Amino acid sequence: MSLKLNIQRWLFSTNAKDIAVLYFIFALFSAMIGTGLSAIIRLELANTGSPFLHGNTQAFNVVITAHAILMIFFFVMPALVGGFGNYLMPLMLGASDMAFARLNNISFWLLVPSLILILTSALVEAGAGTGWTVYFPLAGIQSHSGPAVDLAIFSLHLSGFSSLLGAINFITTFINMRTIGMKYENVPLFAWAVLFTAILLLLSLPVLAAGLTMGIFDRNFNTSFFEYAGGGDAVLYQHLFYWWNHPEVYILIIPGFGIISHAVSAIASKPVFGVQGMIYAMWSIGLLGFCVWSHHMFAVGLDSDTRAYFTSATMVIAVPTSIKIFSWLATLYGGTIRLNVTALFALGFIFLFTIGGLTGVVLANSALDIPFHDSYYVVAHFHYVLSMGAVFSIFCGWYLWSPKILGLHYNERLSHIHFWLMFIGVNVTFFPMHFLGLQGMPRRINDYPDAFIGWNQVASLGSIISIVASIVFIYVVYDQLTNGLHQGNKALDSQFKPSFMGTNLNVEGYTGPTLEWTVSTPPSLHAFNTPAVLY
Amino acid sequence: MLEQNKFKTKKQQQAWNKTLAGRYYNAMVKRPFLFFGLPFLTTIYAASVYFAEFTAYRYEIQDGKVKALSEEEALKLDKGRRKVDMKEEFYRLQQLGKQDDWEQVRVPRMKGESDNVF
Repeated sequence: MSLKLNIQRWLFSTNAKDIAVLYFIFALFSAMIGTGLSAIIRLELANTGSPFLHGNTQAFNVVITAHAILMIFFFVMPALVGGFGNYLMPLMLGASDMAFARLNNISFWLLVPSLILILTSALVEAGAGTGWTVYFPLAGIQSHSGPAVDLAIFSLHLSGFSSLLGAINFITTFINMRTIGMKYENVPLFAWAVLFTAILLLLSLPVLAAGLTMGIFDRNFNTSFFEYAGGGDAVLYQHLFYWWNHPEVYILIIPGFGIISHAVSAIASKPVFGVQGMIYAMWSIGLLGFCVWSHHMFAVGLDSDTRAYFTSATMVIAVPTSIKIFSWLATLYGGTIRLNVTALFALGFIFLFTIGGLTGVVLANSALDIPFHDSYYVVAHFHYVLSMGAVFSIFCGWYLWSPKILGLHYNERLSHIHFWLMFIGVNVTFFPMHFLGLQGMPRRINDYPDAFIGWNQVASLGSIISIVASIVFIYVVYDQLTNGLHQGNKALDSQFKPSFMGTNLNVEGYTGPTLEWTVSTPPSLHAFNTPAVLY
Repeated sequence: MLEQNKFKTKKQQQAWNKTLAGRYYNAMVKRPFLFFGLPFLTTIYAASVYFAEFTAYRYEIQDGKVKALSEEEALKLDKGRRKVDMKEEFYRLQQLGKQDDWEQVRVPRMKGESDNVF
């Protein structure tokens, strides 16, 4: 293909599938930078006395800020929503493309300058050492003079704008572009998950944008929204931030729920148990996600009744989440389980996400949250639900759908090695952090007393194993792209080919239970030019 | 598995359709949002609001158990208490036992262990 055609196809692309591939490439690139930053964090914490950054605490804070923002905004969200969402949602709905194809292009290309801005912010002057929460007054002009924090805030603005446009697109596609005969209750769970994610984004992001804009004004135009000296209130920033941030954690995990539902159904060769319950569980998780924001700020001094409300509302979220976990288990129960790599990642997700959820219930109690606040217990909790929840679901989705998306097969044995290295690595890294947190080790500090050396060294060892696992994954993808035609059909066979004793639900080769399996492999750029009819 | 999902004859099915459970189930199949989704969401949301009462009550009980001392109570506690000074305590403890009634004894070595006598 000539350069001109290449530019036309990839730079000016209005095709959801091509844009999804761009999102995947972008997410992989950001994930590599984010993983590199995590390596710096663990090297620094591998021993006492700041062995890597030589006592430069600001540099450490800049690294943790950039690590979090890269992983959340430029890896997990683009991969789950941008990548899987753009590729699979139109296919699952039987639509030829997304509703607003050009908007889709803008959504993606806004992310690139946003990434450049955040990387620049880490590199100019002293960097943005505010933590990814960008709390004021730490992010104010007195504590962070220079342009680093402004750049970080602009970066968040741009990526927020990109997500908003994407959200509008997903909601419209879901409502208007379902194929003939596809009622709401027939829509596959992943498409539902993307819809709920989009609604959460649409309702929460403007509030973050408002908070950040007020921050920019405080920094540059002498306003004092968050400045006590001028009659402002720093806690107001936290309310605005967490109004967005709590739905954000569901934005990160709900698409993962959707992927795991499809994976569990595929590996058990059964339809998902209790689809209606699954849909309304996601719905109520989203609804309650907007009612619990202050559980992140128990330590600011909320009164007892307010703490009681936010504690109980947070604990109630465990109910719909458990409905999902038990529905997955019920789907597996009695199924013909195919223990391929998709199954390993799905089972790993269910097991480890449940552990993360349990520590979440502990932290939901305001009486316990106050001693645990800002300790490594919190770090362990959110890495269990993100590193092992969201990231495992991304890998699970990749191994489930990538042979379909690319028409190229991955090496099963290598993918199993990837799973086990990743599983061991993340657990060795993050499980000891529970102990460190219980012993009182604070987060976002680059040095610690000698008493904490033991578990910190174990965690750093685990991070090395995870990095090796990530390198293996990159090789799996490289091997899939260069060698994929010669790998045989093992990956898809193990997923969907009916076994002799197996169900006849999926007949005729690789036809799966949802519409994306009915199209050619890889799907043509404009699938469903003639609408599919469901009956 | 699925023992509850027993086969019903046509008559049994018709009889079941007339029961409250049967009528609700059929209505739910027709209008899933009204008969499943809405009660589901309402229950979850209402639970989140009303459980706050129980949590608040739990916190109140807990608060009742932990009480700050009033000034008077604090003064009473001070009555008849021996004044403690860290340095004096150190010297006092030193005087309690004999200080020089010990000698260095060589521990017998295990069989085959080097005696390390040069």
